This record gives sequence, structure tokens and C-alpha cells, in this order.
Amino acid sequence: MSEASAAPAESPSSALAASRQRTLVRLRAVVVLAFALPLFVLFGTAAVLYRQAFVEAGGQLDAASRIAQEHALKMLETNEMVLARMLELLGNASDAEVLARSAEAHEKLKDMARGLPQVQGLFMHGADSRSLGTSRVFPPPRDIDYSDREWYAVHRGGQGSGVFITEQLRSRATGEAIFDMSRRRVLPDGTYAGSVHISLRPEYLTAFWEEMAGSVRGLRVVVLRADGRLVARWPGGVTPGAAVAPSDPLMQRIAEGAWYGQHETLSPFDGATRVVAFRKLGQYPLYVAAAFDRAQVFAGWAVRVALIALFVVPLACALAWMAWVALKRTREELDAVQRLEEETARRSRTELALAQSQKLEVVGQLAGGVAHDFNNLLMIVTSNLHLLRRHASPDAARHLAAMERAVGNGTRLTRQLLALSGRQALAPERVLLQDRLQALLALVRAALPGSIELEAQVAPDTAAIFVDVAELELALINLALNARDAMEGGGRLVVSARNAQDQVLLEVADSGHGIDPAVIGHVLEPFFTTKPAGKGTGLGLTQVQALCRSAGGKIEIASSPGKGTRVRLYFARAAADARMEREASAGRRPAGLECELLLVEDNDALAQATAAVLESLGCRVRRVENARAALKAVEDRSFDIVLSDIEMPGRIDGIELALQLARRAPLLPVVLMSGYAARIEQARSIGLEVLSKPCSPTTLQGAIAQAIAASPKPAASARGGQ
Amino acid sequence: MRVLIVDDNLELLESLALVLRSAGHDVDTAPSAAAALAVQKARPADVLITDIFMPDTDGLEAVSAFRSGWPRLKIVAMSGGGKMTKGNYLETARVVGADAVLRKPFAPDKLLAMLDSFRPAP
Repeated sequence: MSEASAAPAESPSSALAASRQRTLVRLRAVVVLAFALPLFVLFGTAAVLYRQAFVEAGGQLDAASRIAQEHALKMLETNEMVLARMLELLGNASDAEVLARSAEAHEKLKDMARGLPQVQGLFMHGADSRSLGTSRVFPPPRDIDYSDREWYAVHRGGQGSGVFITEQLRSRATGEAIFDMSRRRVLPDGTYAGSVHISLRPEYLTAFWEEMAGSVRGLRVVVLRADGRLVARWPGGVTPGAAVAPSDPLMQRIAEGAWYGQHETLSPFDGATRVVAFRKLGQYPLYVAAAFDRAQVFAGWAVRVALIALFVVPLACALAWMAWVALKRTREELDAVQRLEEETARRSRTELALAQSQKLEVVGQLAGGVAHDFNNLLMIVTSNLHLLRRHASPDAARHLAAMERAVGNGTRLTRQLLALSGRQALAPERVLLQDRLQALLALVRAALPGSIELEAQVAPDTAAIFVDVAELELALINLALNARDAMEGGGRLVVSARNAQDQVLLEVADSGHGIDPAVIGHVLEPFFTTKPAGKGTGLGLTQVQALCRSAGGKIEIASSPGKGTRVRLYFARAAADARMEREASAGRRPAGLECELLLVEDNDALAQATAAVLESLGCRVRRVENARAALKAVEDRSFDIVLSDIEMPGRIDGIELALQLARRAPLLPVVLMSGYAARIEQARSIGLEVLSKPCSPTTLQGAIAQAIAASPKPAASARGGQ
Repeated sequence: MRVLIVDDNLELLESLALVLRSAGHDVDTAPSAAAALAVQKARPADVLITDIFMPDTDGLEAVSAFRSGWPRLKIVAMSGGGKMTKGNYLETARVVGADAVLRKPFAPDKLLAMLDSFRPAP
């Protein structure tokens, strides 16, 4: 079921909403990007720096290994030259000959060793491994047997190239860390004659590496023999007998015969991950390996990234915050624009409605004027028909009856026109539908064909309503005629009445074809009709609606195609009104309005009549003729309320009076009256309470009671009889 | 009964007068409230039938004036609807003193029955 509704459909600007949505999505993306882009740049930079840190460290490591290689080679070459000079010193002399010149030899060796910081001592040994002379002591310690030394076995056995370098050892004489480089001595006849030795201090190497490490972060250097035995190591020194395991990648590369290379490995000494670069020391069976800790390079990289992040992260946050503020502001502005749009749309709807109501007002004035004059004409016709009927023959009486029916139709039409204009001459009375509905339906029954069944149901407790009976009858006829047209093949029309909350509901339901949903919103519009041209005026429901409004109610229409139409008329209950009316006519004062009232009315007769009504309602009335007098009266004594006509002689009219009173006595309620629609609109437009004149005692009582109740001022009558 | 009819529409005035006279009433007519007051002073009527909207006087004022001048006069107000303003004229007329109200056009029989009801009980 669809409900009739006269309200225009809401039409929010969908284009605006879509554009707003797009803008907000874009701005949200900006917020995300403002935060994400700097972070993305940070991550990118970090990745580049990471790679760069290791490439750089790799390059530095390579350079360090090369420098260490050169340094060690130079030392070895110097040693070679010293060894060569020692062999030259010995010549082909026998051990006995050498020993005979041992003092001289000692001095020569001392001379040779002087100026070579790497040299711990120079030694000459005979074929029996015993000392033939040293730079360190004199006479040579002949009692010591060196035949257990590795070099002795190698030289004696004639193995290798003739040069032998030991791993790091402890000096037997001094206990300091040394390593030894020796060369075999062979006589011209090929017999083994012993060896010459240089004892070297590893510090000579490590001191250099330490210096070098100042420019390469986390640098470590080691010199080792091809068999993995360590010759020198920095930092940390060498534990005697320490060696790199053959399974170590370095040893495997050396075993493969590589002269140089770089690889990553776990340190065999402390388990740290290191990058290692190694180089072979010329033709010697020695390698120098330089390494750095990954962890240390990583730490260096991390510090740099952290420094950059220290700038970038707050920057990203600041950017995102600014973008978010922009988003928020934009959203607020868009909301404001949307509200403006809605307000504009609402205003244009209001203007449209106003224009419509102005149009209706003009139509109403026209219709009212025509109907008024036409009613007079109908009255004349009716009166004369009445006179004619007395003398008419039966034949003529038939014609007169036809004319009377025409007058009846004309009467209905003018009343509908008056309902449209709101200018009906209403004579409302208290009506109990239980008592009156059957009688009211007599004319309705006459208007319906026999194929339509009419049923009336009134709940026994239905409250009385205050309504013009003739208008109610006309409304029922109008609804019945609509129902008849909707039930061409016959049907059922049910008129029922019952209480509905604080109102009385009169329902007219038919079993007809229903109202097209497309037009149901228009059925209450004046002159709207679905009937063929000439069959309907489009004023029937207008009259019904006007009746409901005049009786303090409303109309609701529900219909669905094929299931009939249900028209609900709501009326205000009449109980209080009827009692008040009785009391007014009996001249008794109802307890309702105990108040001091100032009546401003220039017309004596109307003032008298109005005052009489007001007094019957319980008001104590003081009447003045114009606004000036009213202002003075308000100064002289206090009133609970002012009731003023708008049209008055003098410079100040009722509206101006109300405005002046609002300034001088803001707590004093003012109710205006006027017979001019334009003035009523004018007063209402500036928020003044205004009644259209003339108005019923009920309306007057309601308006005064409401105005006093809405005012915060205590009633003057309650202030000790002022 | 003596009846005074007031309406600015002279034809209507005459037609109603004819109807009432044919029913045996003694009828005077006046085209305005002012004229009606003069007639009433000269030849007081039992019943006043007045239109509410007339050009020179507001019918409500006329009702009010007659009511205060002749308290025992029966007053019937009639109206064909508002020409210029909106409102419940007939209801107001009742309040300011009309004994009965009629909406134009009405059936002459209705008016005659109303007049009969005004006749003092024998």
C-alpha cells in the first residue's frame, strides 16, 4: 500500500556528492603518500647505503690486503738479502773454521741486525744443528741441540726451495713471540753444511697493520703458512700451535692454488661473520688475509640510516599531518557547501510551495468571489422555484424538480469552490456519529447504484466531533461518488467511525480498482481529476480535506491497484468545545482563562462582540481604540496579554504595536488578528502570533491560552488583584 | 410575524420577501444595515434575517448592533461564503448574537420552518 503524500521528493545533488567523494579520496591518498613517500625514500636510501657500505668495505679490505701483502713481501725480500749476506760471510768454511772466527762473526752479525727493526736475532747453525754464531750472544751456545726443530728436518732433508719459514714460536732464550726464516747452506760438493736464520718479531707486522686499521673499520689481518699455521695475527696475537682448519673456505681456496680472493666466512677464531680478502706473498708459501666484521659494517650503516631517519620520519609525520589538516578542512568546507546546497534546494522548494500557495490564494479569491455571487443567484432561483411549485401542474412540477436538482448540483459546486478558497460559511456543531451517521448516509445511498453495498459501522464509544454537518454530508457524498466510479461492476463501501488516540477516525473504504500509485500523490491537489472531461471537477477531495482541516484534523489516503481505496478522515474530539460553547451561550464563565486582557480594536461593534466572547471565556477585558492608547495602557497597569487588530487608524498598526511591545515589555504576550491574508502572512513571517478574523471562540481561547502559557511572566491576576 | 430582511442583492431580497409573504409573514426589506436599523426603529420586527457580507457594513457588526438594540429580536444570519476574507463567519455570527444561521443557498422551506419555531408558544 502506498500512502498519499503531497511532499516533494528529496533530491540531493548526486553529482555534487560524487565530486565530493572524489576530492576526499584524492586527499586521503595525499595523506597516505605524504607519510609513505618519505618513508619509501628512506628505505630506498637505506638499501643503497647498505649495499654501498659493503662494497666500500670490500674495496677497503682489498686495498688493505694489498698493502699488507706489499709490506710483508718487502720484509721477506729484505730478509732474503740478509740471509744471502750471511751465506756470503760463511763462504765454504767448515764448522771449525767458522767457530775459530766466531768473535768476528758475532760482531758482523750484530752489525747486520742493527737497523733492521723486524729482526730479533741472526743465527748460524752447523750441519749438526748446533749454533755456529749469533748476533745475540757470544760465544755461540754450542751445548744446545736444535735437531728437533722442524727447519732442521726440512733443510737436512733437502726439501723445498731452500728457504723455510716457521709458524709463530716462543723464543727459547727470551720467551718472546718470534718466527723464523732460514736458508739451507750447501757446500760446492753438494753436502749439507747447515743453515742461516733470521728470527723476526711479529710486532713488526702487527704494528703496521694496527696503523693501517685506523682507516679501515674493524680490520683484522693474519699471515699464515700454506699449511694453515699462523705466523702473525692482529688483533689478538697467536696462541702457539694455532692453525686454520683445512675445512675453512680460506684453506680450501689456498689448496685450490688461488693467489688471491675474497669471500665471506665464519671466523675460525671467534665465530663472527667476516668478509675475508687474501693474497699469496710472492713465491713464499705464505698468505696474508685481511678481514672485517659484517656486524661492524652493519652497525656503521645502521648509525647512518638512523641519522637520516631522525630527519625523515618527523618530516613524513609533519607532511602527513599537514595533509590530514588539509583533508579535514576540505571535508569541513565540502560539508558546508553541501549544507548550502541543501539549504538552497530547501529554499527553492519553499519558494515553489509559496508560489503555489500564492497561486492557490489568487484562485481561491477568484473562486470565493464567484461562489459568493453565485450562491445569491442560486438563492433567488430556489426562492422562485419554491413560489412556482405552489401553482404548478403535475407536468410542470417534473420540470421544476429537474431545476431543483440542477440548483442542488450548483450548490455543491459552489461549496466545493468555497472549500478550495477556505471561505466556506461553516456552521459547525457537536456531532455524535453514533446518532447521525445513518441519517447522513441517506443522500450517499441515493447517489450509489444498487450494485454497490453500503455498510456503516460506528463504535459505540466514538467521541463527539465539532463539524459542519452539511459539509460532512457533502464530504461523504464526494467520497461515495469517487468510490462509485472506482467500482463500476459493483462492490462494497464501508463507512466506519471509531476513536483513534485523541482523535476520531471516520474511514471510507471501497473495494474498487484503487488509485494508480503514479497519481496518488496528486489526488489532493485542487482541480486534479482522473475522471473523463466533464465528469469530475477535481474539487471533491479538496472539499473533504478542507472539512478535516476546519475540524482540527487531517486526511490520509491509502490505496493499491486492485485492492481498493481507504480514505481516513481524522477529527478533533469535540467534548471540550461543546461544553465551552454551552457555557458561553449560557453566559457562564468557564474557569479557563482567568487573565487581564488588553483588547486593541477600533471598530466599536466588533470590539463589543469580541469583548463579550472574551469575558465569557473568563478574561477581564480592557479595550482601547488604537495602538498609542494601548502603549499608554500597558505603561499604566499590567496585563497578562494583548489582543490587537492589525488594521487600525493612526501611524502605528498592530504589527508595529507588537514590535514596540516586544521592546518595551518583552514578557508580555501579544496576539494579533486580521482579515487580510497578506497582513497575516506579513505578521507570521516576522514570527508574530496572528489569528485570521473573524475566528471562533474556540480558536480565540486556544490562541490566548497558548500565548499566556508560552510566556514566562506570572499572570497579573495572580499578583494580588492589581 | 413581522420579518425584516437585509441583503445588498436586491433581487434576492425581493425573492425571499415574496416567499415569506406567500407564507403569510409581514415582510420589510432593507438593502443595507443602516437602512435596516432605520426600518427597525420605525417598525420593529420580530425576526431579522441578515446577510453577513454587505458593502457598507460588516454583517457581524449589524448583528451585534441589532442584538444590543433589540434584545428579544430573533436574528437569523445568512451567508454565501466569504468574498474577501477567510474564516468561520456563521459561527462568529452566532457568538455575537445570531439565534440561527443559514448558508446560502438554502431551501425556502427550511427558513419557513425556522420562522415557525420562533413563534411564541400559544
